[in-house]
Amino acid sequence: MSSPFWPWWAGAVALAGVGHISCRLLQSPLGVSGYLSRLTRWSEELGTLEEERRLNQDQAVIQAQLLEITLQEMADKIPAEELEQMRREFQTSAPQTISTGRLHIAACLTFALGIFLGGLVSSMVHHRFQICLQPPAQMVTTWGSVPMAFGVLFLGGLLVGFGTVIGGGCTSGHGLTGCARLRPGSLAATATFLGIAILLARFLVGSHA
Amino acid sequence: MAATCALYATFQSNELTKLWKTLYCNDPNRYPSCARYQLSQEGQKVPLGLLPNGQTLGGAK
Repeated sequence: MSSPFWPWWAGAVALAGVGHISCRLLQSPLGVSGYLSRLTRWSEELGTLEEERRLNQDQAVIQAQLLEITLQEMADKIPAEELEQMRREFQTSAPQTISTGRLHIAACLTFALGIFLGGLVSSMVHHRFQICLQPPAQMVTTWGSVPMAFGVLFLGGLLVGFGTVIGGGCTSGHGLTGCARLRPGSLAATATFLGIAILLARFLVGSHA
Repeated sequence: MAATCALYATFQSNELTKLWKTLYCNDPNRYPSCARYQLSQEGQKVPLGLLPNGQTLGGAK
Protein backbone atom coordinates (compact mmCIF):
# COMPACT_ATOMS: atom_id res chain seq x y z
CA MET A 1 0.00 0.00 0.00
CA SER A 2 1.42 3.36 -0.99
CA SER A 3 1.85 5.97 1.71
CA PRO A 4 -0.13 9.24 1.37
CA PHE A 5 2.94 11.07 2.66
CA TRP A 6 6.02 12.17 0.80
CA PRO A 7 9.26 10.28 1.43
CA TRP A 8 11.21 11.78 4.33
CA TRP A 9 13.94 13.21 2.12
CA ALA A 10 11.44 14.97 -0.17
CA GLY A 11 9.75 16.46 2.89
CA ALA A 12 13.12 17.64 4.18
CA VAL A 13 13.98 19.27 0.84
CA ALA A 14 10.53 20.91 0.67
CA LEU A 15 10.84 22.26 4.23
CA ALA A 16 14.31 23.62 3.50
CA GLY A 17 12.91 25.25 0.36
CA VAL A 18 10.03 26.84 2.26
CA GLY A 19 12.45 28.15 4.92
CA HIS A 20 14.79 29.56 2.29
CA ILE A 21 12.07 31.11 0.12
CA SER A 22 10.41 32.60 3.20
CA CYS A 23 13.68 34.26 4.27
CA ARG A 24 14.27 35.55 0.72
CA LEU A 25 10.79 36.81 -0.04
CA LEU A 26 9.73 38.09 3.34
CA GLN A 27 13.18 39.20 4.52
CA SER A 28 12.30 37.50 7.77
CA PRO A 29 13.17 34.08 9.21
CA LEU A 30 10.26 31.66 9.14
CA GLY A 31 8.65 31.07 12.54
CA VAL A 32 5.07 29.83 12.60
CA SER A 33 4.51 30.19 16.36
CA GLY A 34 6.03 33.67 16.23
CA TYR A 35 3.58 34.69 13.50
CA LEU A 36 0.63 33.22 15.42
CA SER A 37 1.81 34.80 18.66
CA ARG A 38 1.98 38.20 16.95
CA LEU A 39 -1.56 37.76 15.64
CA THR A 40 -2.81 37.29 19.19
CA ARG A 41 -1.16 40.61 20.07
CA TRP A 42 -2.71 42.40 17.11
CA SER A 43 -3.53 45.51 19.14
CA GLU A 44 0.09 45.95 20.21
CA GLU A 45 1.24 45.22 16.65
CA LEU A 46 -1.04 47.88 15.20
CA GLY A 47 0.26 50.30 17.86
CA THR A 48 3.83 49.61 16.71
CA LEU A 49 2.88 50.23 13.07
CA GLU A 50 1.30 53.53 14.06
CA GLU A 51 4.43 54.44 16.05
CA GLU A 52 6.56 53.62 13.02
CA ARG A 53 4.34 55.71 10.74
CA ARG A 54 4.33 58.67 13.12
CA LEU A 55 8.09 58.54 13.64
CA ASN A 56 8.79 58.52 9.91
CA GLN A 57 6.17 61.11 9.05
CA ASP A 58 8.69 63.91 9.04
CA GLN A 59 12.00 62.25 8.27
CA ALA A 60 13.92 65.53 8.10
CA VAL A 61 13.03 66.38 11.72
CA ILE A 62 13.86 62.88 12.96
CA GLN A 63 17.16 62.87 11.06
CA ALA A 64 18.08 66.24 12.57
CA GLN A 65 17.20 64.98 16.06
CA LEU A 66 19.18 61.78 15.54
CA LEU A 67 22.17 63.79 14.34
CA GLU A 68 22.02 66.23 17.27
CA ILE A 69 21.62 63.57 19.96
CA THR A 70 24.32 61.38 18.42
CA LEU A 71 26.81 64.26 18.21
CA GLN A 72 26.10 65.21 21.85
CA GLU A 73 26.50 61.62 23.02
CA MET A 74 29.72 61.00 21.09
CA ALA A 75 31.37 64.39 21.64
CA ASP A 76 33.56 63.24 24.55
CA LYS A 77 34.18 59.77 23.16
CA ILE A 78 35.26 60.34 19.55
CA PRO A 79 37.94 62.78 18.27
CA ALA A 80 36.32 65.98 16.95
CA GLU A 81 37.78 65.68 13.44
CA GLU A 82 36.57 62.12 13.03
CA LEU A 83 33.14 63.09 14.32
CA GLU A 84 32.95 66.04 11.91
CA GLN A 85 33.74 63.74 8.97
CA MET A 86 31.00 61.36 10.08
CA ARG A 87 28.59 64.28 10.47
CA ARG A 88 29.21 65.33 6.86
CA GLU A 89 28.73 61.78 5.62
CA PHE A 90 25.49 61.50 7.64
CA GLN A 91 24.11 64.72 6.18
CA THR A 92 24.84 63.70 2.60
CA SER A 93 23.48 60.16 2.97
CA ALA A 94 19.89 59.17 2.22
CA PRO A 95 17.50 59.63 5.17
CA GLN A 96 17.06 56.53 7.28
CA THR A 97 13.68 55.01 7.88
CA ILE A 98 13.33 54.04 11.50
CA SER A 99 11.63 50.71 11.37
CA THR A 100 11.22 47.58 13.44
CA GLY A 101 12.24 45.67 10.31
CA ARG A 102 9.65 43.07 11.23
CA LEU A 103 7.23 41.36 8.95
CA HIS A 104 3.91 43.24 8.65
CA ILE A 105 1.12 41.69 10.73
CA ALA A 106 -0.98 41.34 7.55
CA ALA A 107 1.75 39.08 6.17
CA CYS A 108 1.58 36.98 9.37
CA LEU A 109 -2.18 36.65 8.90
CA THR A 110 -1.75 35.71 5.24
CA PHE A 111 0.83 33.09 6.20
CA ALA A 112 -1.48 31.62 8.87
CA LEU A 113 -4.36 31.44 6.40
CA GLY A 114 -2.00 29.82 3.90
CA ILE A 115 -1.15 27.09 6.39
CA PHE A 116 -4.83 26.38 6.98
CA LEU A 117 -5.73 26.43 3.28
CA GLY A 118 -2.66 24.40 2.32
CA GLY A 119 -3.65 21.62 4.72
CA LEU A 120 -7.26 21.76 3.55
CA VAL A 121 -6.38 21.63 -0.16
CA SER A 122 -3.83 18.88 0.40
CA SER A 123 -6.32 16.68 2.27
CA MET A 124 -8.97 17.27 -0.39
CA VAL A 125 -6.61 16.52 -3.27
CA HIS A 126 -5.61 13.26 -1.60
CA HIS A 127 -9.24 12.43 -0.72
CA ARG A 128 -8.41 12.35 2.97
CA PHE A 129 -10.62 15.23 4.07
CA GLN A 130 -13.07 14.41 6.83
CA ILE A 131 -14.57 16.29 9.74
CA CYS A 132 -13.43 14.44 12.82
CA LEU A 133 -14.97 15.14 16.20
CA GLN A 134 -13.12 12.38 18.01
CA PRO A 135 -9.51 12.31 19.17
CA PRO A 136 -7.26 9.80 17.37
CA ALA A 137 -8.05 6.21 18.36
CA GLN A 138 -4.49 5.64 19.54
CA MET A 139 -4.81 8.54 21.97
CA VAL A 140 -8.03 7.11 23.40
CA THR A 141 -6.29 3.77 23.88
CA THR A 142 -3.31 5.46 25.51
CA TRP A 143 -5.30 7.67 27.88
CA GLY A 144 -8.22 5.37 28.59
CA SER A 145 -11.19 7.51 27.53
CA VAL A 146 -12.32 10.16 25.05
CA PRO A 147 -12.65 12.98 27.67
CA MET A 148 -9.22 12.11 29.02
CA ALA A 149 -7.74 12.19 25.50
CA PHE A 150 -9.37 15.59 24.85
CA GLY A 151 -8.06 16.83 28.20
CA VAL A 152 -4.53 15.73 27.30
CA LEU A 153 -4.81 17.37 23.86
CA PHE A 154 -5.97 20.61 25.49
CA LEU A 155 -3.18 20.49 28.07
CA GLY A 156 -0.66 19.65 25.34
CA GLY A 157 -1.83 22.60 23.28
CA LEU A 158 -1.52 24.92 26.27
CA LEU A 159 2.00 23.70 26.99
CA VAL A 160 3.04 24.08 23.34
CA GLY A 161 1.65 27.62 23.23
CA PHE A 162 3.25 28.54 26.55
CA GLY A 163 6.56 26.92 25.64
CA THR A 164 6.87 28.54 22.24
CA VAL A 165 6.26 31.98 23.69
CA ILE A 166 8.75 31.68 26.55
CA GLY A 167 11.19 29.74 24.35
CA GLY A 168 10.98 32.34 21.58
CA GLY A 169 10.07 29.87 18.83
CA CYS A 170 8.94 26.42 17.79
CA THR A 171 10.06 23.64 15.48
CA SER A 172 9.96 25.93 12.44
CA GLY A 173 11.57 29.00 14.02
CA HIS A 174 14.23 27.22 16.08
CA GLY A 175 14.40 23.80 14.42
CA LEU A 176 14.20 24.83 10.79
CA THR A 177 15.50 28.36 10.34
CA GLY A 178 17.34 28.88 13.65
CA CYS A 179 19.41 25.70 13.35
CA ALA A 180 20.09 26.43 9.67
CA ARG A 181 21.55 29.77 10.72
CA LEU A 182 23.56 28.03 13.48
CA ARG A 183 22.07 30.22 16.19
CA PRO A 184 23.24 28.83 19.54
CA GLY A 185 19.87 29.45 21.21
CA SER A 186 18.06 27.59 18.46
CA LEU A 187 20.52 24.68 18.58
CA ALA A 188 20.03 24.42 22.36
CA ALA A 189 16.24 24.76 22.12
CA THR A 190 15.96 22.14 19.34
CA ALA A 191 18.25 19.69 21.15
CA THR A 192 16.13 20.14 24.29
CA PHE A 193 12.63 19.81 22.85
CA LEU A 194 13.59 17.08 20.40
CA GLY A 195 15.49 15.14 23.07
CA ILE A 196 12.63 15.37 25.55
CA ALA A 197 10.09 14.45 22.85
CA ILE A 198 12.09 11.32 21.97
CA LEU A 199 12.41 10.31 25.63
CA LEU A 200 8.72 10.96 26.30
CA ALA A 201 7.63 9.04 23.20
CA ARG A 202 9.81 6.13 24.31
CA PHE A 203 8.30 6.29 27.77
CA LEU A 204 4.69 6.41 26.50
CA VAL A 205 5.20 3.71 23.88
CA GLY A 206 6.97 1.59 26.49
CA SER A 207 4.09 2.05 28.94
CA HIS A 208 1.24 1.38 26.56
CA ALA A 209 2.62 -0.93 23.89
CA MET B 1 18.93 41.63 22.46
CA ALA B 2 20.91 43.15 19.57
CA ALA B 3 19.41 40.63 17.16
CA THR B 4 15.88 41.68 18.08
CA CYS B 5 16.48 45.40 18.65
CA ALA B 6 14.64 47.51 16.08
CA LEU B 7 17.30 50.21 16.07
CA TYR B 8 20.24 47.85 15.65
CA ALA B 9 19.55 47.52 11.92
CA THR B 10 18.90 51.24 11.60
CA PHE B 11 22.28 51.98 13.20
CA GLN B 12 24.10 50.01 10.49
CA SER B 13 23.47 52.47 7.70
CA ASN B 14 26.28 54.97 8.26
CA GLU B 15 29.45 55.52 10.27
CA LEU B 16 27.95 58.06 12.66
CA THR B 17 25.04 55.95 13.81
CA LYS B 18 27.28 52.87 13.88
CA LEU B 19 28.93 54.54 16.88
CA TRP B 20 25.86 53.64 18.94
CA LYS B 21 26.52 50.00 18.09
CA THR B 22 30.19 50.28 18.95
CA LEU B 23 29.61 52.07 22.22
CA TYR B 24 26.49 50.29 23.42
CA CYS B 25 25.33 47.18 21.55
CA ASN B 26 28.74 45.56 20.97
CA ASP B 27 30.44 46.63 24.19
CA PRO B 28 29.94 43.92 26.84
CA ASN B 29 30.54 46.45 29.62
CA ARG B 30 28.16 49.08 28.31
CA TYR B 31 25.21 47.25 26.78
CA PRO B 32 23.56 46.70 30.20
CA SER B 33 23.30 50.49 30.47
CA CYS B 34 21.37 50.73 27.17
CA ALA B 35 17.93 52.17 27.90
CA ARG B 36 16.36 49.90 25.27
CA TYR B 37 18.00 46.80 26.76
CA GLN B 38 16.90 47.76 30.27
CA LEU B 39 13.26 48.22 29.25
CA SER B 40 13.24 44.93 27.36
CA GLN B 41 14.72 43.17 30.40
CA GLU B 42 11.87 44.57 32.50
CA GLY B 43 9.45 43.05 30.01
CA GLN B 44 8.19 46.46 28.93
CA LYS B 45 7.45 47.66 25.42
CA VAL B 46 10.47 49.44 23.97
CA PRO B 47 9.49 52.64 22.11
CA LEU B 48 10.81 52.59 18.56
CA GLY B 49 12.42 56.02 18.89
CA LEU B 50 14.16 55.37 22.23
CA LEU B 51 17.93 55.71 21.90
CA PRO B 52 20.40 53.74 24.04
CA ASN B 53 21.19 56.82 26.18
CA GLY B 54 17.54 57.25 27.15
CA GLN B 55 16.73 60.17 24.83
CA THR B 56 13.82 59.71 22.47
CA LEU B 57 13.38 60.57 18.81
CA GLY B 58 10.09 62.19 17.97
CA GLY B 59 9.69 63.56 21.47
CA ALA B 60 7.31 60.88 22.76
CA LYS B 61 8.53 58.46 25.39
